[in-house]
Amino acid sequence: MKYFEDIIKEKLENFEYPYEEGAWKQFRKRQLFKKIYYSSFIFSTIIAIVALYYFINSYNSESKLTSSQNNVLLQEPQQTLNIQNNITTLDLDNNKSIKIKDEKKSVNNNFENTGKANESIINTDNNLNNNINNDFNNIAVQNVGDLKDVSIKLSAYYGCVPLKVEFEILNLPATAKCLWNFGDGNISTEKNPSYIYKKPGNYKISLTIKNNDLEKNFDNISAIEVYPKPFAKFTYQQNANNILFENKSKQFSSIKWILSDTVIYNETFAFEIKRNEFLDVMLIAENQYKCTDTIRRKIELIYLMPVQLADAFTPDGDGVNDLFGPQVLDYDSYNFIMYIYTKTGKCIFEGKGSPIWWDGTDKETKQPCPADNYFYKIFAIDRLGNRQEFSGKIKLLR
Amino acid sequence: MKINWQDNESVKKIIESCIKGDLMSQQTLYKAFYGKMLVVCMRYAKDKDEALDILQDGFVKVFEKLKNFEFKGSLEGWIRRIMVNTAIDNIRKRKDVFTKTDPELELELDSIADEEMNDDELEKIKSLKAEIIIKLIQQLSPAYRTVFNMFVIENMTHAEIAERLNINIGTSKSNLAKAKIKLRQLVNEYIKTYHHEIF
Repeated sequence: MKYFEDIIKEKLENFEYPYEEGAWKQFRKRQLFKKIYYSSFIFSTIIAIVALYYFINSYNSESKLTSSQNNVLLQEPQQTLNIQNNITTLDLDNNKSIKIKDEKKSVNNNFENTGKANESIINTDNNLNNNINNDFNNIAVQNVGDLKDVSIKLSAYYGCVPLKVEFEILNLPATAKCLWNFGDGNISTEKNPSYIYKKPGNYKISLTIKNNDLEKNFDNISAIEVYPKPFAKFTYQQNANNILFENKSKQFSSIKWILSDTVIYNETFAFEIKRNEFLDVMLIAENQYKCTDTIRRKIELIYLMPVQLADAFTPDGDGVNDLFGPQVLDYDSYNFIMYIYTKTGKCIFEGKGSPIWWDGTDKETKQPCPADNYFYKIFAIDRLGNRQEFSGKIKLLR
Repeated sequence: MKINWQDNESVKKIIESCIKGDLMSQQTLYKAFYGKMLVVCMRYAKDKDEALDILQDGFVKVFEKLKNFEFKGSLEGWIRRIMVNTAIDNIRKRKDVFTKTDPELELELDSIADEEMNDDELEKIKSLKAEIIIKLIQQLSPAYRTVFNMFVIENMTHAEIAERLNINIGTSKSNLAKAKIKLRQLVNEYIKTYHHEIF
């Protein structure tokens, strides 16, 4: 008994390609190239390590110098750090000059491309823009002192539901206490909470920080916009060897079907079944906010062979309906095994081939069988390896 | 240089001079195993360029590691293992090759491809040239191709394959089953299309 893969294996093991002139030369090139590559790699690594060593050394000596010179200078690295990390920075110390670097635009773009809101930082001192004329706040800023460097970082300020937002307070003194209001009735006293918005809407965030009897409110933080999501759904229906897919999604503006490597934008489409297989169907629904919902299903396709079987036949030699067997248009593409049984279960015919016919005689006695009901069992295989079994009743008329 | 590769003594001699760096001996060894090893690499690659790439890399390793060869098995087997490992490493570099499948599907697929083929079909496959079979194997997706090669040709178990490729045993099984079905389809389609050329 030999299987398909045994033959494949045997074939491959007894086979070898002829030697091609020039292959050795090619190989020598590769061999030399590898050697050069590795040695140059090692060389450059050594160079890099040496360079790094010198760099660290010189850096260390520099920082020692600054710390010994003046304590005030130490603040400089912190400030530059802020500028590197932050998007919006407002610096009060520099002679009250206000610098705002607003990169919201680029964040917007990122969001459109990826569907996710990127990190954004909202400096709480934005308030000062409004409050600079406010005497009370001027005093507060002076009094708060250690809260003036505080800034707030949100991981997202808009996105699709459910939206997870991570809130972070930068440069917060260790003794400070916080109260976040997420804008939907929920609050948190954590310093760096993360919160999931489960319903679409516009949420206004506020934060109160208390430190040594000083209190500061941040109520000018950008609101968080949570967009609704579509709901992806589809149905399918098999009709002979065609399967009809229909989009049943809700709250969407566009849809996209993905079938292995095919993309379809129609609401409905038909797929022709050519073999027994599993079809991987994915439907992506999208709404006007570019929020998506995806449904993916593996659908078992059952190929129905176009095999015709008669209910009755008349083996009387008149050239009409004398034979019984599976009927197809292209016999070369199929192979059949057919068994015929009597009512008592005795096998009176068996045969293999395409086409295969039973002429109404008993295989043992070679005598015509009497008019009666008989039962058939047929195994069919086609060129693509599809298999199907047919069984039923055949009426022999005389 | 004529070498009898069945004779242990002469194999030992050539290996020794290869280790010493004798280019003539290295060339002899290279030419002797080129054809067979190219078959191994072709099975794992999508085309001849990729196969030659694997082959050359494999031979670089062969000459590097030749001093570790312990004469426990045949030299051919040892070189073949290096080639297979090189080919597998080449595939492992691409992490997107293997995707997870759901376990229910795997169960169903497990038994499908092992069914016996009819004699007619088998005869036709036997008449196919090995080169054609390699071309058809190359048409399989990298995941199917790799698992099929490792299980069917290299006789590795699913557990070994799973460990080597860092995938689930179930993934290995389902990839094998699907590979067999797909390859059978490809073979059948090929026979159907080029029927007249073969017979």
